[in-house]
Amino acid sequence: MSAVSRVRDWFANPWGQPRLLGAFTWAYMVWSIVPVGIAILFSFNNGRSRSVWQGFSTRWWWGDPNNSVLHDPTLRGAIEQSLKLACLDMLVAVPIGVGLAIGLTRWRGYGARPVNYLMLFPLVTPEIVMAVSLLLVFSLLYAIPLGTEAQTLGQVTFSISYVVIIVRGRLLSIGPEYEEAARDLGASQLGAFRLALLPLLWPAIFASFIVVFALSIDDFVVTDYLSAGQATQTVPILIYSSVRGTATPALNAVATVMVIITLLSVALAYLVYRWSARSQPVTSNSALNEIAALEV
Amino acid sequence: MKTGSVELVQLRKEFGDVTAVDGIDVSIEAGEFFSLLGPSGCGKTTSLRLIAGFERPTAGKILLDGSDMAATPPHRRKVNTVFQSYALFPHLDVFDNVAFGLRRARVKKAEIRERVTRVLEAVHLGEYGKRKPSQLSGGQQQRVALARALVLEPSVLLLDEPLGALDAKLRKALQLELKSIQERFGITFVYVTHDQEEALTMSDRIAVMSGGRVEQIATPEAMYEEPQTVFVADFLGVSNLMGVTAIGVDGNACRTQLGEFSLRACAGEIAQTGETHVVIRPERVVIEPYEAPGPNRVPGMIDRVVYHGASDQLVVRLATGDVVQALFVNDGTPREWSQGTAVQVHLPAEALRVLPPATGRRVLLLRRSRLPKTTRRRSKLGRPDGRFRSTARLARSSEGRCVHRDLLRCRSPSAGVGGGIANFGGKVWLDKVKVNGNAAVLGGSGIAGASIAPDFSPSSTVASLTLRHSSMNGNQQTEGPSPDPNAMGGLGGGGILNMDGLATLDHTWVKANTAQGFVGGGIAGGDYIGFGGQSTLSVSHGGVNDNVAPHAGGGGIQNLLGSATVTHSEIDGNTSLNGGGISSGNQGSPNGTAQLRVSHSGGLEHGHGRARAEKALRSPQTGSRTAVAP
Repeated sequence: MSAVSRVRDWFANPWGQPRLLGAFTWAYMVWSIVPVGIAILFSFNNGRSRSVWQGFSTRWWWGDPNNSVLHDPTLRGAIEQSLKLACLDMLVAVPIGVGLAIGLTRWRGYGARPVNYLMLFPLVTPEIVMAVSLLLVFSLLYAIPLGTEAQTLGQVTFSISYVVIIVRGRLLSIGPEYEEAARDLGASQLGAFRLALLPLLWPAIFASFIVVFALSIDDFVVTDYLSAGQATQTVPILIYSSVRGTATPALNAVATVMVIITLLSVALAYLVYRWSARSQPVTSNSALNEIAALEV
Repeated sequence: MKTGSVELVQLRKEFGDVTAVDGIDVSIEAGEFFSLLGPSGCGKTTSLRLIAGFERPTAGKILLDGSDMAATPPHRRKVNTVFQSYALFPHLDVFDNVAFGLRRARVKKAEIRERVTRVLEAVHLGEYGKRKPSQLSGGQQQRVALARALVLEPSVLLLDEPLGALDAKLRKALQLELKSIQERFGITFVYVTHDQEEALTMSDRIAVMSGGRVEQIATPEAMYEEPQTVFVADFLGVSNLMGVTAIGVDGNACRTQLGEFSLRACAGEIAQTGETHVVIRPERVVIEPYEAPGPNRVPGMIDRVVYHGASDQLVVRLATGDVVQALFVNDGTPREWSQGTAVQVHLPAEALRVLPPATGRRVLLLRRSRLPKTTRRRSKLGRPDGRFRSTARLARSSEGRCVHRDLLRCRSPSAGVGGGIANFGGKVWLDKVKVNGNAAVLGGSGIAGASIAPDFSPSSTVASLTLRHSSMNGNQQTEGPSPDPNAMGGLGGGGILNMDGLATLDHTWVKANTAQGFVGGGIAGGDYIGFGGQSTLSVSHGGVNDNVAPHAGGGGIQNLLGSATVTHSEIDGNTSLNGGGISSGNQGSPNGTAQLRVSHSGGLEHGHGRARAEKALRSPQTGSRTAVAP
């Protein structure tokens, strides 16, 4: 047996580990993590450069009295605005989306099918188109002041679609029996919803929260169009606008903060999800799969 | 007075343009175990959901202890449901699941604890209160669902196929348990199932439903022993249904005619006349040695012996083409019958039950669930009048196109020609169609084709028949040749009778057909009546096997006057008077010629088939020209 064929057999052994797939997966992981890792690394650079390593320091985090994340009000304001918008978006979009999803699954009429397709509209519309039209409508038609209000409404507008899709999938897999059983056992319509349906919907609702959070943190185009100057700058807008100006590793530190917050929220949500789905008949990964499928 | 009586009055439910429940009247007594039995889609679950209140009736009343519930929401009905999927709340443990209803009714805490514990004990789940439903087996989940409904002490318990998801053994055990719980609690059970055995073992009374209607309501014994409709007879247990002609009352019985055999039937609607069905349960069929004398006996041949463990099932094909099942208890004695044995089938008069004639819709529903397409097909084909009326589909100077259909058992003793299809000067085109088990008197039991009008006057159009990827099996032509030279007698063509038209068979099998007339067992071609036409027959990539024609020339194919081409086909195991496989030659008209061309066919190419092939190619008549190209 030649060495070549031995290597080939080791690699292509149908009973062994899928090594080729493993190799691809790891290659992809490295490929996708390296940029983030480098960005995080340079937030600890002991110099103004974001591309030449000049030694380790924490001056861009808290050491520098003017330009560090801790002390620069612009940077802090951007993080605060990002988190504020994300929270507002979650609080508004999720309840509306859940309600819409329930309504749409129950609606049996002529309009049901078109509306189900129209729900996908914000997903497939180019975001820039969406942003321009939202700006026009908000400023001309509804006279909503630009800034936090307009930004929240804009984000809610497209976030709802994601919530509806996640929750509707879950609703369809739950089916009508649990509610019927609750009604049969003497619960009113509202009682059946609260006692039977809502507990079963929690995983999907959590998944929606995570997705909406990620969407909001990520969003640049809509948020930028609907912002009202520096006061309502979010992190993506800040990073974008300072690229041409005097960018310091403090920006990397801001980005790192956002990465950490996102990771923490996902981890927290996963734990809550595991806890809430611990006795669910449906496979416990379904909501995570929903998120994975939707993360844009 | 005991509570828990349910009365459905002209109850009707429509979903869009589909009628799920079609005006049923059912009266269920308090404390009764009542089953709604039927195939899927018969409306039984919808009926149950109407009683539970999950659906709103389109019309009719639901009387619960005399008061109409039709407009009451489900949570205000003293009725509880055990769901097919159990619908146990996965986020609650067993105790909380069972206590759910009591908490909604604001029962005191101590009482809840006591009642839940008691009912869990009753279903043998006392220890399982703290478990989650997902930690229980299917049978245990089922019992929790039952306990959850029972704890509310409803006056009526509705059960929607509650044992459907369990394995056979557990189902048996739970059947008994359900029945004993029902007796202990004294609650009315309304039980929906498609499992006839379940319904028979547990119910006090059964309603058999079909197509949104109630077919019959009776006790299990009466339902099994005295079915009142063809549907009930066929649905409940194995039953031998035979289409017969009822002649009239004869003493305490009804005289019926099954093919050429006369049968007396004592049970059922003996005053019936005309076309109808008789039914006999397999355990009442008696198998006797061949040619055993006596009335109500029909000769037959054992088609299959199926071992069932506790019993043996014999499938017997009667001389009339009907298939009868007989059941023998396996009592240790060696089996007397084997496949292929000729036997006498005794259908005792007292066990033979006359049913009212079923509507065509119902019979078709029994056989195949492809009803809508078949009926549409029927309406496109014409229906000739007169003597050669057939119950089957008919094409008359029209085009009939049939794809992927089954034309099965369209036997009718009065069909002159064409038991399955009679084609009088029309075009019939069949693709992936089975034409099996049909019977006709004169000829062409499967398909008859002739360029004549139904009254035997010449027609201007040529009949043409095309079969592709189809089969034509077990058709019977019953009448023999007449001794009187002027009378026509039975013609022949057990499978296909092609008088003077075109017949093309491609990838089609013509098997086990019989013809008692004077031509061709499987396929008969030629103008026997003398209209001067010629038949054309082409068989390719198919087979003509195991056909029988005791009085005819050719067992497989008989080509009298016309041309026949057989390629890439098997002609095997046919029996007849003089030509085993294929007989070609002009017997009737002295002026015509017959041409036969056989190539690449089973009988010719293989050594095994050579003798048969030679026999098959015998052309005994003068004036015939035979061309053979092996």
